[in-house]
Amino acid sequence: MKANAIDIKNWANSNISPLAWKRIVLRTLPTFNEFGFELDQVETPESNLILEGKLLHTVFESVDELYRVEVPAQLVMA
Amino acid sequence: MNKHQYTILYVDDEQSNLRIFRLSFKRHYNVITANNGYEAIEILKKENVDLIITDQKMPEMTGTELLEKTLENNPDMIRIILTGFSDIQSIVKAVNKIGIYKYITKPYDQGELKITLDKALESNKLKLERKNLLEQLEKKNEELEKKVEERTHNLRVLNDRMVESLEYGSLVQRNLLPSEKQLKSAFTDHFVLFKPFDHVSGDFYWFTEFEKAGKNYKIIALMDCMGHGVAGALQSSMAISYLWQIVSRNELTNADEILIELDNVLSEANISNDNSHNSMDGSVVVINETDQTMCFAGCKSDLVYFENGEINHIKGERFSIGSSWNKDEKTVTKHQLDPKKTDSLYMFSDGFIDQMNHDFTKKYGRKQLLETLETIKEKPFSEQNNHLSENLSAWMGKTEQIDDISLIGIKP
Repeated sequence: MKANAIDIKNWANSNISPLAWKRIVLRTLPTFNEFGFELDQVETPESNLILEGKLLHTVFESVDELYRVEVPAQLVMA
Repeated sequence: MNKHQYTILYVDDEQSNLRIFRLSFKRHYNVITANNGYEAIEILKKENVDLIITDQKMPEMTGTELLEKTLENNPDMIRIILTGFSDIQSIVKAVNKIGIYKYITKPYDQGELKITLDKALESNKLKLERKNLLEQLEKKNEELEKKVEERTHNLRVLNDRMVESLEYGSLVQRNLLPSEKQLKSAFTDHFVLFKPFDHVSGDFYWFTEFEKAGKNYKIIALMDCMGHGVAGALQSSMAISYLWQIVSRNELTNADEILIELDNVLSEANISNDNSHNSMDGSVVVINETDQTMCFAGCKSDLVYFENGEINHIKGERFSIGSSWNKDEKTVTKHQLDPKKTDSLYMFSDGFIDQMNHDFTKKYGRKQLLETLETIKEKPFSEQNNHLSENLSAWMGKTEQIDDISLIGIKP
């Protein structure tokens, strides 16, 4: 299971709040750091930043904890 | 480094080791010691410890077991293992599992240990500061998000109110325009392509018919007030009122006279209203049905007409109605047309010809409009309307409309 970071960012900022991605990123930053990503790389992700495994799971958890919503299935690739 | 800045808990089952450590480091840190793991856990409940350094081999509870137990209540504390024998394998496992900062083999060098402790404490301090800043940032963002939500809600309410008001304004404005029924009964055929830029429009068209001295007149005007949206719409309401006054009161039946009079009224209003610059472009066509004559006049507004199948184009004057041009230079020419020879005529505002294309590099232009009209001249008017509308949409692509667009076609 994987998803493009930009797709999740666009979805969150358009459907939840303009600051949603910023908040999600701050909450998940330690995990992103573990994978070698810095704040600016995640906040403005490049089009080829694919999230999977622990990273994707952490993002999903963060979306749920912060906003009590689920990332739409159509954003997730098999 | 401030002596009391950091607290270190040293755990060892040998009293002599505890004494040596205390004596070696008490000048640099607050040193607390514990004889075994249980005592250490009790101390941790009471004291705020920055770093724990423990011997690995102790009876009852090993160093790694002790450190594992401290994880839940002291997650940010630095953990160091001191080991007197080379049980590297179990220590390495603990490093990964418990997050041990470092293991140090006995006997340790006091100076080296001091450097290690200082480094660990300093980097932990930075880590905690970073964590703290991130938490603050998260909190601020949460507050900001709430504010954005609140403001968005307020703006939405205001916007809804404005849109509602504009929609009502649009309805009022459309009621000021001549009805389809009126135009249908007045002309052999006609169409109106009317696309306001906003809910309300600065463009408008106006029609009246009346009898004067036994002669029947039909007058149609198309005007484009300066600006668009609410400002343009207010001007257009004012201009409609002026037109009614001018034509009804003075019974003017010459297109040029109507425009001159409209210019007089508007110029006067501009002067008396603190030299404001309300102006409009527009054209008027007057048809004398009785005498079978027709005349046109325009101010920055053209007329295109077909006479015996040939396209003709009359340019309007170079000044706008109500503009600050010298009054003596504001002359309006009356152009006579023959209604019997005229197949169709087209009046339009500049919105159509000024519309930008899909990549915003080119205007539709007068030339292209004339060419389009030429190609569709034989089509029924309803089809001409559709063709022009679709043609314009194709030209625009995804580019936004930039002005009010009006085009009227008439068969006299």
